Amino acid sequence: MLYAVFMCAVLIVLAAMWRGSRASLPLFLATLAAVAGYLVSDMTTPLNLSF
Amino acid sequence: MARLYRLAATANAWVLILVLIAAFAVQLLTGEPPCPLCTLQRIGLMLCALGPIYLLIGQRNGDVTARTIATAAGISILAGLVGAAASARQVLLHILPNDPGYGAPVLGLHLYTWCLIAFLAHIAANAIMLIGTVWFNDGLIERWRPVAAATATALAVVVVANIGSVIAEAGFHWLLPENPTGYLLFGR
Repeated sequence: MLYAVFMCAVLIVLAAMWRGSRASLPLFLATLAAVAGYLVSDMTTPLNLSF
Repeated sequence: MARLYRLAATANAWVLILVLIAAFAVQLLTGEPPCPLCTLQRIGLMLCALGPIYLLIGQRNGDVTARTIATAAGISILAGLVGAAASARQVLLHILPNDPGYGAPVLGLHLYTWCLIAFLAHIAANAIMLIGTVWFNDGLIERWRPVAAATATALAVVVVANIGSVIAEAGFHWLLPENPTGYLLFGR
């Protein structure tokens, strides 16, 4: 589900870009930060969620 | 020059969309659902595609400016870095000798290795586009609205399809299983 949330965020960014919203770039940066943060937490927590 | 940038952005976006479609094809043909890191790399590809699409959307009204090119390239490079980090992590997880890797290799390399190559090539291409702005003069060109619409729609369709795939794979769990072998939503 978490990954579906990330993908929904990508869709929201795409929609914001299409509508010419000024929020599109902040939304993109927030989505990118969330994905990067999740990747870092996956690498640094003892629970290995990937292999 | 503006037309060249627009063509480059169109090609860039469609290459990424086709890579995502190819990943889906491998998933369905080999019966191997993507692992959590594989899904993160797909998300990275989606974020990378937003860069050239930003430029295509920006030129809908005929305007192509150095500012738009720079913003689009910045989006692409940042997303490429995050995607490359996820790919590199998966490559390093399987780098020890005699490690079979995850999933079947395609044309001799695993999909995460191909992804790393794709992300690095994407970053390099956008860096070249940034350097090219030194010769770029802002200007109006004929509109390409249908191409922008078609490209954005194709990405949206691919993202929606991936959302469905991830929900089917995870079932009602928050996270994907470590080693997915089926689709939990269907009880497999």
